[in-house]
Amino acid sequence: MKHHHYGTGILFCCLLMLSLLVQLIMPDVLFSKEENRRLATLPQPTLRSAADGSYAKQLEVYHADQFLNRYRWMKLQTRILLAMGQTKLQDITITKEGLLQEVAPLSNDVNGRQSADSINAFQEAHADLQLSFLMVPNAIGIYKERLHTPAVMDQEQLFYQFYELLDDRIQTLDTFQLLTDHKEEELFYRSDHHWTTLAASYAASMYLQQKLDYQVVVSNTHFQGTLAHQLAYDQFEDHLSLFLMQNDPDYVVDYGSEGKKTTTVYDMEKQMDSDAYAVYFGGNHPLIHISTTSQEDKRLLVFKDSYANCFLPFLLPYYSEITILDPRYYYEDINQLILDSQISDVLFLYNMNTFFSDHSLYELLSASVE
Amino acid sequence: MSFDTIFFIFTWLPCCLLLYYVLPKRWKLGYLLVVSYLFYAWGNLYRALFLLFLTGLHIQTVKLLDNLSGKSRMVLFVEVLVFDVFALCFFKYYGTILNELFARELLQVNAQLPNAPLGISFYMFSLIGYLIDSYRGQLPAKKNSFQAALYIAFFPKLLMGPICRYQQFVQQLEDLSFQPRLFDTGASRFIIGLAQKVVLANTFARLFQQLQATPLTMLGAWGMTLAFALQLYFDFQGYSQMAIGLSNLLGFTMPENFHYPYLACSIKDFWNRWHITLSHWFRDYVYFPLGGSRVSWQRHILNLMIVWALTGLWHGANLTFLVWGCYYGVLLILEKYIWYPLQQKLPKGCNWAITLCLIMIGWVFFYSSSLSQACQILGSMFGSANVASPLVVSVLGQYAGFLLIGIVCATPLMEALDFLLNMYLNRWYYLLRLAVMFGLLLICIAFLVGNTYQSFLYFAF
Amino acid sequence: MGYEYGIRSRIIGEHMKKVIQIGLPLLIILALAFPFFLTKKDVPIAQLQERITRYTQELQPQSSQRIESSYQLHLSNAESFIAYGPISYMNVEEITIFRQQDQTKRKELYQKAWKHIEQQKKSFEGYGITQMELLKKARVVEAGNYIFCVVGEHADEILTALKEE
Repeated sequence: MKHHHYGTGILFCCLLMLSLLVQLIMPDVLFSKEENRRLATLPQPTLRSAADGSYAKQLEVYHADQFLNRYRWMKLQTRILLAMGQTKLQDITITKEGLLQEVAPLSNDVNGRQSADSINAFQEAHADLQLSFLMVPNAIGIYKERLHTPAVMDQEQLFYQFYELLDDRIQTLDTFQLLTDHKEEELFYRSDHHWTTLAASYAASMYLQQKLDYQVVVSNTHFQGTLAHQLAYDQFEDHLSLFLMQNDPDYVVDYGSEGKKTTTVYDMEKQMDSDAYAVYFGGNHPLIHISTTSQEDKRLLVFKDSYANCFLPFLLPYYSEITILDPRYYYEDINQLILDSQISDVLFLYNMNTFFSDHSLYELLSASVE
Repeated sequence: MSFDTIFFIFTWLPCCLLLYYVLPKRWKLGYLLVVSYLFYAWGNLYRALFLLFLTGLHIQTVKLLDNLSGKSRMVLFVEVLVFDVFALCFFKYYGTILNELFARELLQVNAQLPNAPLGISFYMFSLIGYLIDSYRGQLPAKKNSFQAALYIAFFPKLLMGPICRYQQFVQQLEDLSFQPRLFDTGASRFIIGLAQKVVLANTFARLFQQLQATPLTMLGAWGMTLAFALQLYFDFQGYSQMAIGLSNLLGFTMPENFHYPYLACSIKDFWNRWHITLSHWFRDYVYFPLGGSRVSWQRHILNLMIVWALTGLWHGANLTFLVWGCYYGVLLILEKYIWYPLQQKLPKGCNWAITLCLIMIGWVFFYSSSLSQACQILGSMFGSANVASPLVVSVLGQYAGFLLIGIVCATPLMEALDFLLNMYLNRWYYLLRLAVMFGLLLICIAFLVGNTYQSFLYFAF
Repeated sequence: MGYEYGIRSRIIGEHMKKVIQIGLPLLIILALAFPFFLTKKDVPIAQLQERITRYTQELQPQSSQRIESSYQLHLSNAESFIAYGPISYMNVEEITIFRQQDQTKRKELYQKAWKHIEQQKKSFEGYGITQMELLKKARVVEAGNYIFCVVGEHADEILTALKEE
């Protein structure tokens, strides 16, 4: 029985030697689908990096990145933390019905006053344009009763407070009430931070003041979105559906500086990717220009974040031109753009998490009115 | 390099152990020396050169001290001692002092001082201890430079390890044969230490940060302090266990650094259980030379305050650390001269509760960044703010499981369980233990891979 | 033989003793004086411009407006600046240099530069893999009277070239 004494020692020894062997044999993994990033490769030492320790750090990152089944271990950690009673990891709350994310607002513009002022100034500068503001609350705002810990930001209060700050001429759409009315339906993905195309269809219907006629096509039945990957938590799988409008005109989509031109807003190659939401427009771009064969003589300019991606396809039959701008990546002179494209309507479409934690809209607008 | 990284555990350690046990005995000492310097140079070559310089200086000085006598011997000793203390103070405090003066616009300073080499607070104590022991004539006459160099640089204890004594370490270099029992113990200790650091300490650190972000309430302040108390304990005890475990794996024994400190029934008892090697070092090399307690009571009080002020300052270059140290100095004085009879009369449970309370209050100074912040937190702990808020309650509720485990692991309950199972389960005990160790290791790996980097709190020393 | 060895080691011992007795106090004085003796060379910004010309081939100069909005600052805070950015808006490579003698203002610029990097990271989070990698390796450094903000594949090289001045 004496050898039982040494069980732990032998186990430890074997595991260490095994890990060495595994490292020598297994090839490096270059890209992590789940984390959506490139994994570190074996760093090359230089005299300088060896002396000041940066090579050592790179080597450590390399080993951590290349650890076998890295994502599985992260999933195990999440499972253990949840089993121990944690319900909020990072900034995401885990509930039975889905993952709810709350992004901390910008500390120096908590109520969005600066952004509101810049939008009002923009309206002043372009009094002939019809401005609309469509702010989309996040799941954490609509389903706040599902939270165990009160959220830092009360989205409902913030939503209406912000609308108060906007100029009267700007048309504001009460998406909060709209989504609350449809609460029982699947308005948000359970594993992603975006809203579903169904929710977008209700909002589009409200914006256009039309009943929409579309056909639903399921694109991906095993969609696991950004939040699931951020937490390494795979208990939720969503359906991603495309809502194809029956009265869709023909159109050309021009991706501007990236040189691409297509005749569809859907990037079907991306629908099975780990970020399947990128099936809409292929993700984010600084500037997109869509020309349609619609009979309406209205030209729309949209300032947006990624929530608009599944919303915009509903608008195609109703505008002859849609110019789509993402202020996070666009820095040109929008006054010139408005003149050149003969814009008649402007739409701001943002989700609350992004709007209150990102300053780029404010920067772009204030630069244009100076 | 840190012990709680994938690279260290799964690449460095297997290679190190493999080579160590393959090499013939007479090469082991040299190998450990090379490996230790490589370990230290890994993060920064210059700090390894600095260590080499200091080690060489001390070895040479000790040789000289052996051959000198009288006044010139004392002069040399004092010179090198002063240099040691200066070097330590220079890296730890000079920058802060200059910044303070600069902030008050008394000086114009251009350059930034180099960062303190990691571990300097620990290995400098080994060096000073070596020097003082040699001056006192307590070291064996025949010394081996390589053994002395390894005593200083031995990588398990180099950065934050238990501060051990020259004789205790060098004795073990006489016999470097493989000791299977010790190896097994080392493996267990390493895994347990890793779990304490990576699972418990990091979790309590997160709890601490979350509570810090909430507005102050009584429950929040106590919760925050509890979280910090557990975080610091598991962080440091975990690291110490890993250090001792690594030494065991290499065939060495190291002194323990902690002995269930939160079970202490008096402040004196607490300091015999918390960072034992540090308080013993201060006792042997500062307190006793000053006269210890064999002096008049006024001088005794002075001695205690000096030792505790230094202990506080050793932890960091901030006023709060100094206050923390002096706080314990004052408590110990009160305990010795005033409270002792009362302590004897009270039941143990009462003493324990009071001691724990005092320790928690002490930690508030330790983790606050300024005295005013500390006072604010202490105020809310004793009623100046709201009792609780729903946010704090729900945060604590989420961590309730971990808190329970943390509190249990801070007591000898696990050891007692281990002992009982050993007695009653016989051969199944070993299987169970193996399974538990394996499971623990798997959990550690999950946390290692999944965690964002959490630095060891004492790392800046 | 042993006697000679004894003498030799004693002489070496004497030498070492002198080295220690003189060297250590010298080291102490040097260490104390060290921060006061390092004077900063004042390098004109035009020289830095020359240094980076080889790296700016694929970049274009940025307007002051662009810098003001993306760094969220007023250019009056910096005495002068050089800014190169990417040609396409979806890229993140840039070299930005601010010159500012006043230390507090320099610290503010330093903070703003880091905030700018953080904002960029947020914009590209989850979408731009290459951009995120480059942003993670971004360097913001205070050296002398300058703040350097460099994002790109060759960030380290560029920084070394700049620091040499």
